[in-house]
Amino acid sequence: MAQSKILVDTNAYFRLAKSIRPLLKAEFGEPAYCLYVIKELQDEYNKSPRLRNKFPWVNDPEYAENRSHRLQLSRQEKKEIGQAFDFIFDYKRTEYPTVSRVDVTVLAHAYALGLPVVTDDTDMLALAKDFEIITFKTFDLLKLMLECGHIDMVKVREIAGYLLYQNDRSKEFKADYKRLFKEELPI
Amino acid sequence: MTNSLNIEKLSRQAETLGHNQSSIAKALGVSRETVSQWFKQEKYPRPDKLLKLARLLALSFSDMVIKHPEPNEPVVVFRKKGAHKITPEYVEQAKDMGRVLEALVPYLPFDDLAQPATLRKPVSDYEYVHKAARRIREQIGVQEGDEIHFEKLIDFFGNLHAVLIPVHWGHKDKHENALHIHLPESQTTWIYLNLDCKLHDFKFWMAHELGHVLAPQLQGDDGEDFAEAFAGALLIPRELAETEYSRLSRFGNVGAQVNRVKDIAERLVISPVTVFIEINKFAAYSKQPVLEFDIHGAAANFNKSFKPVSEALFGTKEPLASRYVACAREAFNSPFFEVLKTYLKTHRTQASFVQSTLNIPFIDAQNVYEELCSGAK
Repeated sequence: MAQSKILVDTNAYFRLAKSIRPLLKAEFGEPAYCLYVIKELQDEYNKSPRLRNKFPWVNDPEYAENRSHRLQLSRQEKKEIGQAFDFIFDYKRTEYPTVSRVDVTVLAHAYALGLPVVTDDTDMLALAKDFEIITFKTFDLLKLMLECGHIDMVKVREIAGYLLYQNDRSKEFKADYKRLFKEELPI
Repeated sequence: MTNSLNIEKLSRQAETLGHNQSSIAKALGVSRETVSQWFKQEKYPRPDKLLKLARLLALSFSDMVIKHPEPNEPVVVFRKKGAHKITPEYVEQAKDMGRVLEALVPYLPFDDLAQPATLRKPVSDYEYVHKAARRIREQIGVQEGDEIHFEKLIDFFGNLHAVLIPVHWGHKDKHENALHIHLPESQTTWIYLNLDCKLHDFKFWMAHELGHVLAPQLQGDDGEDFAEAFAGALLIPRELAETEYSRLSRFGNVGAQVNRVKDIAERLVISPVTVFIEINKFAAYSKQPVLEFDIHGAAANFNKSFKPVSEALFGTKEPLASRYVACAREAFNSPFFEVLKTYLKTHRTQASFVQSTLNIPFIDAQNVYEELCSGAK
């Protein structure tokens, strides 16, 4: 069965990779959903001592091996990603200046390859919408995984609790949780 | 920047690929009238349609779009260091940071009726630069030959409507230790100072940035030349250079000369290279032979003895966000984080705003965001 690829942005990867293992590579549900990150995530991580300090596990063999499962891109696809990047980047400079270069790279991949993106960043969500790129928030992805039986409600609560503890709350975090999982956030 | 379509290229490529306005309209799901308005430059396509048009005609952004500079674009200035080339991407990124900073201007505590006093007709010649530097030293209240302390320099920036933004950008060797962004419309200047650079370098960077703030009308190479000359003159006044030139010229061996330069550098908390260069500038100005010993090897060892500013300030390279934010106010007298906090609370903006304002990793931005929006009530 052909895979239904979903891209995960850097922050969503850091939020989920330690709780759902393996996060990438593992197919779930129908039509065989499979999560991917772009290779620039590694560059961003390598460049930042603070990211390395905060998430020291990222380069552990288990996670490094899991990320090595990458999108296979043809020359034509790379060219189309580059083209999409230039247009999205120019637009974001005036309309969504807070969206980073790496985030635009994720969106360019999504646009050119026709894939959805998981992100919780408000501006990135709005920028994606302007280019008709399909997006999921982290909780939407968890809901999808839950419905496919890939994770259970215990895992959902564990992740929500961890994000609460870390104070890593996106806009509408509480409302999204209640809407999707029909219960109050775990305290 | 504003954009317009490169109609000539667009039309030529459409023709080559056998497209007309009707087929383009059909392929893009818009009316023929809309496409006609694009080709007549009456309307500019929405972003998604623009990209679809580029894909249809297999055109790159630079082929399809002409960019026109706007009058009030942020002006960014970097300190040149050696032959290191500053990439256009880096400049564009800095301008983008300037555009983000525009949002903070209404929250600045500056008097918007008065204009700060800057130099009237700044030029880079030795005499003028030293005259200007002497005036500043007098205003700061520092005697000839004495060290200018950081806090004295810092106070000056606020008087000139310049906002200091201390940042942790990691160890950098080249131009990335300071970034100067001037916003012409609001007449405000924002100066990023990298706390991870070494203490002795930091003072020079600050003096250099002060040179830019004092001479906002000088841009490009003229501005850089002035700021560099001003920094040297401020830190090593002419009288000191003159005295030390005579003394060094009398020394019989290179070792004693190098040690003397190192002593001056240590006392003033600057690099021996700066001391050496300024003494030789005096020699050239007064038409005397320049000193010809090599200081760079000794300077490299000497500079290693200095800690990064962040370590001197916090005792660690990675301070808590609360200490970092407090330090901007206490050590740099900067209103930056108060302004940012007001903006974040007023606009209910996310941490990504902090990330792009400070150009730091998201995780650091998140910590600062939490400190501003939750921690410090």
